[in-house]
Amino acid sequence: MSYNIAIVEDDPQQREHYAVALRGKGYRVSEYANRMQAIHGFAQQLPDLAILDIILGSEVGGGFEVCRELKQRSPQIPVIFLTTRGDELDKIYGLQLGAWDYQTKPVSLEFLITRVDSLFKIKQGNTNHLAEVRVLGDVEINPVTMRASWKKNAVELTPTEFDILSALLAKPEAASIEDLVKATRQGLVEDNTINTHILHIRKKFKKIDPEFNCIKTRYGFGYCWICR
Amino acid sequence: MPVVKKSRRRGMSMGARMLLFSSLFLIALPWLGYRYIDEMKNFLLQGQEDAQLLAARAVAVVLNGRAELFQPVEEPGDIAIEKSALYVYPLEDPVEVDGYSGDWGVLLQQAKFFGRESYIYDRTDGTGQAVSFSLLLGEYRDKLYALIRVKDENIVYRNPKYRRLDHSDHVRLEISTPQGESKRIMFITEGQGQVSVYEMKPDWKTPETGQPVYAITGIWQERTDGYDLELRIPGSWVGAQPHLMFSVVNVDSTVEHQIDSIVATLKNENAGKLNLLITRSPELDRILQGLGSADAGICVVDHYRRVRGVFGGENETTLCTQKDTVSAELVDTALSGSQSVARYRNTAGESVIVAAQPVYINDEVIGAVLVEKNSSHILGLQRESLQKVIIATLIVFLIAIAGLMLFAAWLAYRIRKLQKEASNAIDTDGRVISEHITTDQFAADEIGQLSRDISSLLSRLKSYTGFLESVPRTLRHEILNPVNTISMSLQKLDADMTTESILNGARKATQQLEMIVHGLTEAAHIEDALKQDEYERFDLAAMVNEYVGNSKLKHGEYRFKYRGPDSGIYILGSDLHIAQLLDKLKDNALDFSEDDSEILIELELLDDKARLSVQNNGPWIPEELLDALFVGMTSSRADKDDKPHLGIGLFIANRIAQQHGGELNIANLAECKGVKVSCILPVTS
Repeated sequence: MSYNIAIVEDDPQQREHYAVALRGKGYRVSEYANRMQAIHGFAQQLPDLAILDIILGSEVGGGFEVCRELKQRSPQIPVIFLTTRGDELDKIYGLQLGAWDYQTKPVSLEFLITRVDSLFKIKQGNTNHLAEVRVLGDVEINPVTMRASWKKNAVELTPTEFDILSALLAKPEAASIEDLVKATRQGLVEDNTINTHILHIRKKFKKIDPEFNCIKTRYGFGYCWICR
Repeated sequence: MPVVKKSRRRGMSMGARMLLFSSLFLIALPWLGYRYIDEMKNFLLQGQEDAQLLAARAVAVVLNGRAELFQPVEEPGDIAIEKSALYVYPLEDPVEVDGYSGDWGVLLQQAKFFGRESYIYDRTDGTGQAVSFSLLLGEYRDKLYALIRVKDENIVYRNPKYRRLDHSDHVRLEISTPQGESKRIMFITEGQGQVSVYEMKPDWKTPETGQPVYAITGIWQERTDGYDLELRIPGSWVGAQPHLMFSVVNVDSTVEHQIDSIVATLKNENAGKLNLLITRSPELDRILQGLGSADAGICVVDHYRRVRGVFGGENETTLCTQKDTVSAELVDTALSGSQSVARYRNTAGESVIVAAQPVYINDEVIGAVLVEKNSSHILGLQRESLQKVIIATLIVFLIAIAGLMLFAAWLAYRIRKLQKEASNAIDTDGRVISEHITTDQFAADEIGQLSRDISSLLSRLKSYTGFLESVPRTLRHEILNPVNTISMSLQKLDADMTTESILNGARKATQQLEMIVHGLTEAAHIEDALKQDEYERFDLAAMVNEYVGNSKLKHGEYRFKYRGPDSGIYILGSDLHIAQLLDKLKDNALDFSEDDSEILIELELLDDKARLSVQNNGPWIPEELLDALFVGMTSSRADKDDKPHLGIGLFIANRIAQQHGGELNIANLAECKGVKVSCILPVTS
């Protein structure tokens, strides 16, 4: 069966681009231009994944509203936000979503499709990809399901955070900011956005293990993973 | 960008507090003055009392042991006689003997009353008409005056047809002359006017000689309820130790003409004796005259409280003048042997201080000395002082109020001026016209501070508006380049089909556009990001040391050099943002440096500040551009690469430094080519 993806984007040209690219990958796509249309559409059929632009016409936080509506109907639906600003990350965080991610504009269609694929993989959950698991000390990561765990406890990471963590682990000597920016597979990422991500990753690990202290700052360069 | 000085001068507010404080004291001033004056009055009165007690004692000491001044009788010890003594008031003016009592004045109140208990004969045994009289004796220049006021509803005058004289109302006088003779004088009349005076035989029925006594004058005047008899007796009849007795004989019936009752000044049990006359002792008066003074009254009383000597004092002395006895608590106290002092209010409403001291003879109190003094001059002094204090307070208040109003007006004027200048500094469209407020710019008080703050505010606002105004120009320049590239690439696409290089050009141009946007968003977000920072204490030296080490790895083509401690300089702040600041300074230095040139990063401790500087060997920056570099959208570099130059790096670095309580400076090196950017940050202990 093919998944049904809802796109809520007020600019028809951009919407058209996303739709064409996703349909090319074999997904079914429902297009909505504003919040009312989207909510109306969700009432008839719930999508398997939603791509939401945050600014919908005159509604500055319209995407968040749509997300809230959607999560009320079905909390498990993965959401990808399209954002122009890195500082909206914290706001998205505030929504306490389950499976979600974001893409910064200008969006790379290639990356967008990879993200959609990843989220569906996560949604499918623990399929038979255990062989792929990499273990590094107390941390385990599964690049296929994008799941990570610390001392056998699952850490709920977004795909972007997972990518950053992977890049960090891949370079034990230290990963530069540029490495991490590349790992996000986003078009335009500020240094501060990476800092924010690292902050969130640390928080998530500390939630499981308050003693967690493995991600170190390398001033002027980046970050490194050293557990001592 | 000018750095705002945070230090505030507190001088003015201390002054304002002092002003408030002193105003409160102003309110307390009249009260304090009143208290002071009251205390002073009490002090003066106390002093006056003490002085009067001393004066009284001095008089008492002089009188001690002078028994003859107090003992009026030859045969002391006859208590009844002593008590029944009649007091002779000294008269200031002679009384006109006319039967009218008016010229006795206030002395009338002192008249001694003789009523029912003084009857020495009563034919009717109490059923007859009641008769009484009052007696007033006065002395003026050796003459004795007497006023006898008889209450008798039914006056019976003498009828000439009777030979005997005791058939009508009349008055009898028994007197012992200085020659030792005892004489019986009768005053009788046939009507109002001059009375007949006869010396009588002992039976009081017929006259001794039939010749009237002309030495004694008497006038009889009827009243509605009786009659007055006014007499003048010559001094030769009286002597120095006078004894006499008056009796009023009442006859009620014009038919029977018999004596109904007799009221006398001495009772029956003392028959054969006469009343003693007590006059003020001339000897005593003389002594007092030597002791007293005009403003203090001295008064001596005997142990029956009878006034024996008076001197001086103003006309209205309260206790002694024109009285025969003084009954007051302090006289009792003095007669019991203790000194005492009291304040009185006399009939004129003035305050009078009276001091009393006992006079002794052989340890026995025989009298007392009273010293009276009018203390109203002290109260007058108090009133006068009070008035002065009130006037002085009023003047001080007026001056203070005027001062405060002037001060307020001056402040209001300055504030208005400042407000006018401040509101004129920005035009209606929000453009900063003038960034320097001249009003009170050098004043040390709060308004001066406000003025300087507004100036600094305006200058920051001007920098910011400058930044905003320069955005479109810089953006147009920077964006047009990649757009032009894309446009040309597209045109070429149309023209020929060797697409790879053209597509590369378009991609590169797109990347450039993205970087421009990236730079802009970073500048836009820095404010929000700084606001959310959580500060912690961290080792700046260790961080910079590590940073330089990492930069060496990252930018191999440049030579980084660090000069400063490896660790141990702690600051409070956000390490990530300080790293970002270093990034910007480093990027700036890299942009200006030749490859392989040295970039010197220095960290040094200056008292409570740390100076972090990054120095390159690139070309000098024109002096006029130096300050503007922090504003943003100002760039001085020549295009060395294809990176867009929005001039945002130093703007961001400056914002971070400011947020950490520090400042950024840029200067060309003095000796050789190169630019040094320094950041001063406060350190924490």
